[in-house]
Amino acid sequence: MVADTTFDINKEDLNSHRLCYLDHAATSPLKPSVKALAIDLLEESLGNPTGAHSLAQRAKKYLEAARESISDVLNVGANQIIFCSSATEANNIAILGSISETKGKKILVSAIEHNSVLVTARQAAKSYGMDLGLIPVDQDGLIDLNWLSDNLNPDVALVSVMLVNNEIGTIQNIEQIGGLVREKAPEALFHSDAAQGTCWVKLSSLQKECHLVSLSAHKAGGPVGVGALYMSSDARIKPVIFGGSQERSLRAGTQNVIGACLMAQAVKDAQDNLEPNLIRIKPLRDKLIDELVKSDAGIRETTSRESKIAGNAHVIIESVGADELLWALDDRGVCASTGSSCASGAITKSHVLSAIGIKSSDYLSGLRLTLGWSTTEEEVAYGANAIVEALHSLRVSHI
Amino acid sequence: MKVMVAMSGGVDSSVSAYLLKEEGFDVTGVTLRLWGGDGDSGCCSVSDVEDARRAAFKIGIKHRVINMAEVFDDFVVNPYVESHKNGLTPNPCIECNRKIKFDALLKSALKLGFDYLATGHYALVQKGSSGFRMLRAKDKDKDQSYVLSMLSQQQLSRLIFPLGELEKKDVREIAKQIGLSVATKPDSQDVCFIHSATGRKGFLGKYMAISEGKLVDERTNEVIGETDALELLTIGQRKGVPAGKLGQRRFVTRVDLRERKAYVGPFLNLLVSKAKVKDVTFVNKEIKSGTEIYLQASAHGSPFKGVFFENGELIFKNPQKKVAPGQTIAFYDSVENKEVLGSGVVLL
Repeated sequence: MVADTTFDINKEDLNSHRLCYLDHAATSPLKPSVKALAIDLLEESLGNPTGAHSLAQRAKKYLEAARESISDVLNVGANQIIFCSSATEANNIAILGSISETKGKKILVSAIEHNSVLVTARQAAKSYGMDLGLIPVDQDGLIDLNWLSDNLNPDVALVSVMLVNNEIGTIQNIEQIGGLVREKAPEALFHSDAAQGTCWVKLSSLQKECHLVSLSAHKAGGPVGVGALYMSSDARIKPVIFGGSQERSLRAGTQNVIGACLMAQAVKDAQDNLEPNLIRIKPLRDKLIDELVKSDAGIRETTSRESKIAGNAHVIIESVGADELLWALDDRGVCASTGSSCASGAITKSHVLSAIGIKSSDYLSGLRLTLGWSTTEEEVAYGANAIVEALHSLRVSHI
Repeated sequence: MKVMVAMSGGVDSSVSAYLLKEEGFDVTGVTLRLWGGDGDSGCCSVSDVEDARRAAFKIGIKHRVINMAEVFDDFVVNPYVESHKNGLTPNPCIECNRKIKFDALLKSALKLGFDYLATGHYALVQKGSSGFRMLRAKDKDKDQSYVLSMLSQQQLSRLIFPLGELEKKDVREIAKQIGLSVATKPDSQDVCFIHSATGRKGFLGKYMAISEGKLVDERTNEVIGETDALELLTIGQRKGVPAGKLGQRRFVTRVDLRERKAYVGPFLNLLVSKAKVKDVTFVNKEIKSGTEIYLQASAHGSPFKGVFFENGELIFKNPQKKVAPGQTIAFYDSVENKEVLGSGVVLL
């Protein structure tokens, strides 16, 4: 049943059926267990968790239960997790919040970081008069450990390398990176944006290497609007949002209690099901790429499957603009993206494809297909056909 | 029938989309991302995209954004800069129409299964026994046939201009009645990639050296003033040129970038009896050499009579202010000055 709203929603759009959703890296649908919990929690009477009365304390109880659940998954203390609005915000806190507390003069980030790290790091370097170094990557997106080793020294204040890349799915060797940072820049903080890794990588090992880890809910079947940051005991962070004592005064603002609980549910569910998820999705992803590549439609795999998560099927489509292709796919009920777009919604050139050495004429030709918990075999078969058919229709000359 | 409407976020294109939907077309609105830098208006600013999107939602049509920034750089911005380096006065809006809106975008629309592309330009297209004809819009003050004068039969067969029969005030009234927030949005006046705060100098200064030059009286060779931006002077320009000793107005008549001089003289010296054009295109039939036609040298300039020759020469009936090389001259029929016959780009 669709409720009455006081603002303008086209009710025909709500609950409309999509045939084929291949955009889990952008956001994943709410998992049934998360949706069920949401419905329960929305019926609850919850006060402001900072308050003193029993409804407030109830909210506080839920919030702390969520926090404990996430800290258990990460194998860290509950007081090392703070909630915020998103992984983007967590990245901002991790970078802007830590940099003023360090003595170093340099920030190193991988060349394929999400803009919430890249742009924030650039801003931090500018504000504090520091140098920013981009760690080069190879053709699969793996960071050049030799370069990192050569450029790590006691002058480095912060290193940020994302666990899983949002466009091409590359999984970094966090253990090796952590080892190098400890060896060559023992005072430096090591941050990892793990937003895309929740469904694919065991998060509990990160705390051994990283001082700071950003987490997202909505890439793992949870809701948009909530994220979290893990901080090790030796990571000194200053707030970037002021005006309240919430989250140990590190992140002002009334906490999103329901969001935190749903996030905890989603993260635990994802981490408990890493193996079954991998076993189910990998063959679907492999089939999708194989069908596309063998179709003779000028499609090639962007990076090696061994280097990335099992849900990522990023491909390069020759001589077709991604804008037009996404449009043609949408007309056929297929949801996909490129992974890089600007505020207007238009596709922009991918810095990730540039960093892995893809030729510049292909920067606007990347197609990101990402599978997830809800992807079915039928969707993949349909999607592969639709993509090939869309390409044929775009390549036919109409003038 | 499926139609793609190019929506800039302004009232004209928004109402065009609405009118076509009312006529029963299957309409999708598209906004182009053309320019990633500073700009007040046009197809880059996120607020314009949001205006277009909001209008599309209000009208009840789908809306998408397409990135054509690279082609725009290649065919509009870079040639604009190069032209200035060579002392020409380009018209980037005409080049955008020629290469982007009615070329790249039209091709994209057809590839995506649309039957037509529509824009909010004020012009009329009629289909007759001899093909498609383009006419001036009913609203003479808003007529934009000049910037569409390069269109071909093939293009016109796939274009719709819903506002050709309407007056601007009616368009705003329609927008108001359907509740579009852009009903009162002012029309954008400037080149979309030039910010009004920094102007042409601020923009071009990032791509080329802009330096001083002397202003020289072309009769006496006397230096009468200076300019700090010789590359930005246009033939026919009076702004920045000191008046003569008796207060007479003086105009730029010639610019010599190598000598770092701009020659100035009285208005009379600007008057020429002919021009030569290249890149001539015809909308319908070729104009026979020796035919008298109306010529228009700017978007809202007064048309004047002249004779067209197939070698690109245009002989004016009466002396006219010289048209700067790089500008477009549009050709109209000599009887009613209503039908667009074609255009050419001024060589000298």
